[in-house]
Amino acid sequence: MHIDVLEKKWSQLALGGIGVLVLMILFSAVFQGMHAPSHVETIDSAKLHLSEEFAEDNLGLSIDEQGRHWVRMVAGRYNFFPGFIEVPAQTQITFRWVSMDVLHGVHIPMTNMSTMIVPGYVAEVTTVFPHAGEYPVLCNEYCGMGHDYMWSNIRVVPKHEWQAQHPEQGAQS
Amino acid sequence: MNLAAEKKLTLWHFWVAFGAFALASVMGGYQVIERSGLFPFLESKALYFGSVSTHGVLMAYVLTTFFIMGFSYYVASTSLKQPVWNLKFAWAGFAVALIGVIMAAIPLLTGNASVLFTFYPPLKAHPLFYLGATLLVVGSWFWVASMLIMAARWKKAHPGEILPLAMFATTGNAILWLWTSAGVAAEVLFQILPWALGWVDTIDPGLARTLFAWTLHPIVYVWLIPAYTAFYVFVPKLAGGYLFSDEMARVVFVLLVVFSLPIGFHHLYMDPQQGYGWKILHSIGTFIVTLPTFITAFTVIASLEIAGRLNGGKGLFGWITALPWQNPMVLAILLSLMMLIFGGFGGLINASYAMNAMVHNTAWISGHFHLIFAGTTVIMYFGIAYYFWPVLTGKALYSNKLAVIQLWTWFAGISVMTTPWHVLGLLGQPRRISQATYNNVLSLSWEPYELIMIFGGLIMLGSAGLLIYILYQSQRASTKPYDGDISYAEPIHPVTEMPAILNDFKLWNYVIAAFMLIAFGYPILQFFLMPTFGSLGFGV
Amino acid sequence: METPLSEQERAEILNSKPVGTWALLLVVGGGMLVAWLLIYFGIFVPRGLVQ
Repeated sequence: MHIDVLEKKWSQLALGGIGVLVLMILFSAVFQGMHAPSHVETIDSAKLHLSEEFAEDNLGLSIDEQGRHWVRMVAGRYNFFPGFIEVPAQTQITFRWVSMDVLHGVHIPMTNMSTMIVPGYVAEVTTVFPHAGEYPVLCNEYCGMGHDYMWSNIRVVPKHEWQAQHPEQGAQS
Repeated sequence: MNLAAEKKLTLWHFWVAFGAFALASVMGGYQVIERSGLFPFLESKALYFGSVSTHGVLMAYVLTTFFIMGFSYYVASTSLKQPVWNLKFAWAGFAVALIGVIMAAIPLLTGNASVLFTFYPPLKAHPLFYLGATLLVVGSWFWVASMLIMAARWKKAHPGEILPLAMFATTGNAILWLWTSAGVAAEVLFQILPWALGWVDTIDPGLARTLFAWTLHPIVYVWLIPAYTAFYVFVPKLAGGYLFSDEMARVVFVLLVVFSLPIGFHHLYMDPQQGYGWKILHSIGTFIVTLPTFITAFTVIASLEIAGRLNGGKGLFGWITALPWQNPMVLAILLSLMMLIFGGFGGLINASYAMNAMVHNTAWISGHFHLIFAGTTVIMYFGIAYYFWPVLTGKALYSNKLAVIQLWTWFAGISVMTTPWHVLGLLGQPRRISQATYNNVLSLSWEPYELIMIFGGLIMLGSAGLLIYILYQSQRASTKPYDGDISYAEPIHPVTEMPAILNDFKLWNYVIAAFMLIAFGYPILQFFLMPTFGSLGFGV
Repeated sequence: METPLSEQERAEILNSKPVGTWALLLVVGGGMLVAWLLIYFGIFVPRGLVQ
């Protein structure tokens, strides 16, 4: 089969360029732990209030004995619960999101906190907020007529301020 | 050969396609004005989301399916130089699909199917919507059968000969659509319809999203392949030249058909029901499928370069201005390629696994698919329409000058509307909202971009109106008779031999089956191995 | 209107290498690679680690 010399070179260059991007993505996944949130775990969305983990008084931020920061949130038409949470900046936070009704999605603008919230599954995503500030928490998947109004708030507190407010936690990161 | 019957078949398909386009364009115009917030009396959630659902179904399912079927029937009969196989069968498919559209339109237009064109459960629409969508797909399968039978019969009558490129691409697209539609067909037949009809109580949204993702990527290539077909088989000749490489065109169509299928999880990167190993596998496949587009860019632009030089163009880039920019099909491809650069680049960002978190379900996504679909793909549908209409009706095009203006204004409108849309996504604006105020300082920063988008949308609405006007006048007004036919570009170097793998999809079907088993086998099976909790239905 | 091409000129063009295409695509392809890197390291990564 006859292929023009320049076309062959272009095909090889394109393959090479694509290869570079794929290798960079694989490198960041394997060696830097940059992944899409992919924790496969089921839960009965119709019975969240009966679960220990997502009972109302267990929602929001909690820190376990190893110092790991967990935030448990429930999405349901048309809010995220709890509606206001505070977390420290520059600290690894693991979010666990569940839906009590339909499909939702959530992202915090200007951060990498983004995930779908599929009823029947727990969506777990771990991220770090580099910059302190007040951020909205927005629903980004159509969930009905109130979708436009579905949002909550998160305050990311500067790390030194957090440590001053929570001396019992010691030096965590 | 008398093609009167084929012309009628194609023309009726095109009328449904562009009729759907016209209605959906008005809805698009309404949506963009409503979002401005400048006209409070227009604001109604029920109306907005009913409009978005209908707009999406009409543009993504009706315009496309009917255009592709009509285009393919005429390409098949002219490239193979034989009548469409069993016209009654073809018309039956048209009727089934059209009945499906009307069935789905009733709940859509009455606010009983405001579930958007993706209809993710557990939001539940009226069962008539799902039944109508099913008939639309079933009607398209008549077309698939017709293409496969025509190709097979031609091969039997011409043993050892090379299947014309236009039919190779068209047959490939039919095969691709069959494989593609299997995902959504399974979702609708085995999950959604039993649940919507009340035969089962619950549905697993994770499995439903996985099956829909099977369809969601390759369907855009089903839409794109007719545009690429025009790139290869019509444009070079209309530009005054030849096709740079027939063989590379075939390589492209094979790569598109094979690699557009096993990659749907790039639509599920942010979903919890699939593991990261599978997502990474699909991301690699997604990057591979960019290659046939990079090759297409070379082959097609090289064909244009040769044409431009034959027309007197000199120097490294002088051939660009020497091309016949006044020919609607040539202009359409030039504008299409410009939009492909940016739309394709956006696709590279979306494909990049973890980086998808930056754009997922934000306004960037809406900007992306309007640019690559409403832009790159649909502008070629317009170019094809301008080329085919005189052939199908026997009357000259109403106005070449207006067609040129229409194409430029479409390009301008798309550029003005989709560029700020991408920026809004990076600024964190979510998609699928009817108004963009969140009582938050950040959302104030979105306002200037929203206002620019409105201008873009209005330009597009005007351009859409102009298209319909030109086609309508060409159809109805008594203008000069036209008795030409479409003609196919010839390759620079005539092809005398072709390996079987570039003349036939038999082997490639086995490759696709193997790839799909690897890419979707366990990811679907897992839902049957682990205990899952279903969801009841919810209204909107 | 320029004089029409001779047979030889036509044949030369038809057998020529598409250098304009090559140059154009190198610029476009290179631009895409640079733009991807700018967005990846300039917008995505600064928003924080994620998994």
